[in-house]
Amino acid sequence: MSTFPDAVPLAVPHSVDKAESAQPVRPRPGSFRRVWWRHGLAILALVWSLFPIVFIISAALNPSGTMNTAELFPNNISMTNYDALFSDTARPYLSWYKNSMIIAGSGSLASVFIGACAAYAFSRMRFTGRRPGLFALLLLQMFPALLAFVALYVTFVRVGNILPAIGINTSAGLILAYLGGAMGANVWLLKGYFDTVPRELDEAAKVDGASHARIFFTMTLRLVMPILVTVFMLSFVGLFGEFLLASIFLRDVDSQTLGVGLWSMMNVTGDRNKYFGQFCAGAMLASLPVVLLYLGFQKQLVGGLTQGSVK
Amino acid sequence: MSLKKFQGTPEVQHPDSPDNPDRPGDRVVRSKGEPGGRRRSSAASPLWLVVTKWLLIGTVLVVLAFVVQKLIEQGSWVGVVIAAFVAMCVLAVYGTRHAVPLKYLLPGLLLLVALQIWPIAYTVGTSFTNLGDGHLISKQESIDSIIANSVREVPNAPRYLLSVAVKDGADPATGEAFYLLTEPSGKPLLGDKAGLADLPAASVEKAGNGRITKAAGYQILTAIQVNARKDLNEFAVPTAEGAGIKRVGLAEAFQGKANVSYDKASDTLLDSATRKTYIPRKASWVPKDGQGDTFPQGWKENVGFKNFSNVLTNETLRSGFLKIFAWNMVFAVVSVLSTFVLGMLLALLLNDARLRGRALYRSMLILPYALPIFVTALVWSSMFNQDYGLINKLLHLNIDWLGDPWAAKAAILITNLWLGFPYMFIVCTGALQSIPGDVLEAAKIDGASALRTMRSVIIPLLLVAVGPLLIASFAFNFNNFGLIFLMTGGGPFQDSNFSVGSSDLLITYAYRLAFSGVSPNYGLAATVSLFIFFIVGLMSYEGFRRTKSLEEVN
Amino acid sequence: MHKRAIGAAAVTGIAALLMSACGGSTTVAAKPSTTEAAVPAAASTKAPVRDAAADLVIWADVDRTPIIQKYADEFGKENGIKVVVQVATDVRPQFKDATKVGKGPDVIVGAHDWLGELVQNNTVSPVNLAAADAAKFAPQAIAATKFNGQSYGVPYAVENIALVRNTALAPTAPTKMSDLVSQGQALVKSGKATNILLQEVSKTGNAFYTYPYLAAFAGGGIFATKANGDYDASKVIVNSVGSVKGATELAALGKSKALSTNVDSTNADALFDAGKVPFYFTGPWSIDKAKKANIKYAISPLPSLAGGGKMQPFLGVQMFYVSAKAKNAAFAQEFVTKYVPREDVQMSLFAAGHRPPALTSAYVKATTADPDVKAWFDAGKGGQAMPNIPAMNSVWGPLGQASADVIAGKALPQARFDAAQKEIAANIAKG
Repeated sequence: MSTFPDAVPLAVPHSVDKAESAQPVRPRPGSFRRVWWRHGLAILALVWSLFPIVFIISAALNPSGTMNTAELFPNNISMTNYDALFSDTARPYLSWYKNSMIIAGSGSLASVFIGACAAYAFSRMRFTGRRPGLFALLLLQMFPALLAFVALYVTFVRVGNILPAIGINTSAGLILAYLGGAMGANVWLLKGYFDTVPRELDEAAKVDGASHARIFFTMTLRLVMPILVTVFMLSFVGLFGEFLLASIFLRDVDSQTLGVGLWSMMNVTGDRNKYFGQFCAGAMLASLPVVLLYLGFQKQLVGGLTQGSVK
Repeated sequence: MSLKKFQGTPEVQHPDSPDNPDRPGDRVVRSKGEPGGRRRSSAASPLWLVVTKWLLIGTVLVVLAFVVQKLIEQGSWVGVVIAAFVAMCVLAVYGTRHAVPLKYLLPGLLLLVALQIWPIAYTVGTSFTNLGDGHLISKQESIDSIIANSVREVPNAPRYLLSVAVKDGADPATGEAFYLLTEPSGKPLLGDKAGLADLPAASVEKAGNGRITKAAGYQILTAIQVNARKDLNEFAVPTAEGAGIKRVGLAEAFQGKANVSYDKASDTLLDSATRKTYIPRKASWVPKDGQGDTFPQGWKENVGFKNFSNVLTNETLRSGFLKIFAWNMVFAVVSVLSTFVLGMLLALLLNDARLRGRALYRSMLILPYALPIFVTALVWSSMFNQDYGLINKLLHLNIDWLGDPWAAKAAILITNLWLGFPYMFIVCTGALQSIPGDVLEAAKIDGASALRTMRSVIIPLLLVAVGPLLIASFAFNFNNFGLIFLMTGGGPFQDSNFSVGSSDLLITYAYRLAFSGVSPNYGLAATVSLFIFFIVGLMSYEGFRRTKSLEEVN
Repeated sequence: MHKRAIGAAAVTGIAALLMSACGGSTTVAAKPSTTEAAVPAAASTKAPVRDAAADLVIWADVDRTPIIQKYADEFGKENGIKVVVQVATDVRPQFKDATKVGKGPDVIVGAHDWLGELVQNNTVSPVNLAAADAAKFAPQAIAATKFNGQSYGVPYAVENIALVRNTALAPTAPTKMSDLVSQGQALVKSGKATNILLQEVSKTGNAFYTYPYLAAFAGGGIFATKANGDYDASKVIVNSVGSVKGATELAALGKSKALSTNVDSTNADALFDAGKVPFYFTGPWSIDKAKKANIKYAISPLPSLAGGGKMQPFLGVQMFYVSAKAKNAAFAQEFVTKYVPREDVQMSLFAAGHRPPALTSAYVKATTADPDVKAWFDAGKGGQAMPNIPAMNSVWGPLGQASADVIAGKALPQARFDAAQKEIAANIAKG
């Protein structure tokens, strides 16, 4: 709410009284009595979602790096796996981290943008091929991509022969490859949300002389912020840990991503057990950005449109 | 532009529907000539905007022109056509005022075609071939490879020290090659394409190990020059009985003989060592008498609809299909429903603004999603271990979770619930923000109970937004290769049969079918994935037709 | 899109999984110093897919790269060229993909059982090591580099499984399986141990650990061998009299709870490192962690089975290959045939992974540096190299499952191995 103070007095048919719409957003003192059961259930949910992760943490802290799923807590705690993780020059964890942040960050931004553009077209405009197009996008996501990676590899090798900057073994090429699915993967979710933004806003702006581009960039995008954040998160999680395409693209250890590095740490050295402790330590640290981002995005997530209406 | 701007907009009847935003309405506004230029329409965009736009278009066109130039250099005419087409699309879509939807769709569309549709086309193409390990190369390459690999060192023949040379004055890169050889006895020899000849010992100088470093009338090549001469890889100084002196590395030569030869007229290979003849059969060289091994190097060829008829008539595939299909459906449906219900309930639970710390709750709840599946699936499968796993220990059970067909299915569903609920949670949390406060307030004022509000207001509205995602999630889970592979590998296997596993999905099953042979068969794998695509697509379409979202699309 | 990746990732995973049966390295956290770019050579981690400017390109795994780089620099200096050693995260598939499109390296470093596939796809070329040089290697290592009688590389290490025991629980090494079981049972009874024996079985089985049981009996094994010592893919002997005797032993061990399908790659190490299991059939890859867990261990040959001989492990050989599409074939051949057989090269590679060197003189040196090396080697005596023929691809699944079923008591040895034989033969016939 607070990010868009202007939106509140907006004179649209579905607007509601300011006090009313603002009311659920601000926690009121003394409300704990009414929501204690929510805390209880939330803690239960946390137990469910976190207890398997305890094993990963305990393996990360266990100096011999083994996982013991019979007991919840490790009997032997040390930071050796973390030391190994940061001092292993053959596996430059910090470089991987940085690369992943850059690739997942820019890839997700571009992905959200492409998805949002497409969703705007599908939501606000009527054109031939609109319905079949939407179906086709959904259907394409269902293709069992057993062989897709071979095709992408061949494609990017050829692209690299002409434009080395976006060929195989470049981050730019990898980001581009990720964007192939940007439209299809997110357009439905985005469009669903776009549809809930009242058309009247567009109409009003248009009367006001705004072009479609202006409406889209300056108004619609702000109003759909929660879903943009959501899609960004989904996309970020996906790209941050992605390892198959990345392992095809990035051969140079220093330019690899966390997904590739961790995956090869676990599998490729011939025996996945050997670096297991180090691997768990790395995997735990790798989950941090996702959690922190989601935490940081809370405002945007609940901020945008509270007074819009489902048509 | 501030949103406040819209507030003052008079309720002018606007003739335009949002479908055609570039229609007369804009012009009406423009013709009014807004004072101060605050409300310019796109038609009268500020100069900098127009310039920027054309600069962008120009940049794209310049890059494409550069690409075309490169493509012409490489003689790739298909590439030129594609690049030109893209350039025309960009110009037509962004250079004109028409095709507004395409302005928004083009980038995504181009990427989609290049990176999603092309791989599918590639899969379709592959399904008509026998592509696979042992069938990756051309027939000619297989012949060359078999012959090259059949070269054996002639028993008890000496190893020579080698210096590669050309005649004085000849070009080191192209001049006729001569091998200046030193026998183990120290005797120098001269080899050329005609054969071996003596080299007068007086005309050469040798290094400490006996290798010739200087020879009268010859110019000895450096290591780099030797390496650069690819013709030397084939070069041999002929000796007796079809053998030849060949180079090893830079400074050594051995006498070797290719045992296999190719007869073009009869299209057969002859192995002179075993006196066997090999004929081409099913894209491989097989012994004519049917005895002995086929050469491992087969070649790639088109097999027409063979893969398709194979899939349709395959006995193992047919026998297991129904059973696997049924479990596959159950798995996909239960996975989608369970993750959605849990994710939605948690999203609703935490969607109360009075709840302190909900940001923290939310971020912790998505942790299962933030960790790579190859570690979480591993953790779960070891938690389900009958003897050493936490689950049996904690619940004082002795269930063979991963060894019993039914327990394995349950274990997989539980694991998938854990893996999948955060996705649904994130999606629902986002989508919940689209449900307007006034609707909820209205329901409250009407005296609807919380449960009733949820059932008749929140869930239906939520379903509109996430309905298509449920279908997509169904499709994903239908092909959830990773989970099954990491958890059970399709097992447990019953009745002494490794082809049909109790927790197999069509995709893991098909995978094993295509990859269980001596050489993984990508052609067959491609065909099976087309069949699976067909099935999933058909079912999803049906499912889709029934959802609300479809009505909305109409 | 993230979802798709998972599925396809597992595809490569299956290959990795099949391979993990043989693999394993024992690097004692070898911390390779940051590679210093020597004059003629580039730093290892700075090169793209294939450095077009390099005169020789080598791909190796991350642990081997810095060592090879050192000798590559020397080689580069000697010949006045630029040699680049690159880390490949997964050498085998990456080599195949890259070679197909002309972006592959000249030399790769990998396991010998890749050979069949590499030859099938015409990605490696023969390497003609002089007979005198070949004689300096362990014969079984040289045998492993051959396919259809042709040699395709130069080996640098040999590894195999052995009986690793916790000396605090079992001070002496049993030489007979029956002794091993009775010793273990006594320890379990007294509460000192939780298990008699550890061996990776898992619910889907692991044929790599099944083979030693089959090979302990005359006529037992997976493939019959041809006159020239090659495996004969047309003669599967999984249900031969000898093999079924081995399977019967597996069933008996399953019954006495010495073997269990609940022990798998995810928990075997952890169980042994908890210090409550006396015996463990494993390879050098488990030692590093056992040391960290302060387990006092000793290595001895696998025991012998009643009515048969000693259990025979598979040997895994690590080697250098030359690409069939090498852009610099002469340099590649020169490096592999002249540098890899050097004792100092083999010793350096040993230091990185503690895998027993394949070169005999280096092996002798290594035994004085690390007593375990001799113990591993002795345990591997008489073992055969793991088959490198493509037909082995058809064996892992069915044979593994058959042994898991027999150990779990779900099926009778004879009938189950008959079924596995049929299944394997059918898979091989499928081509």
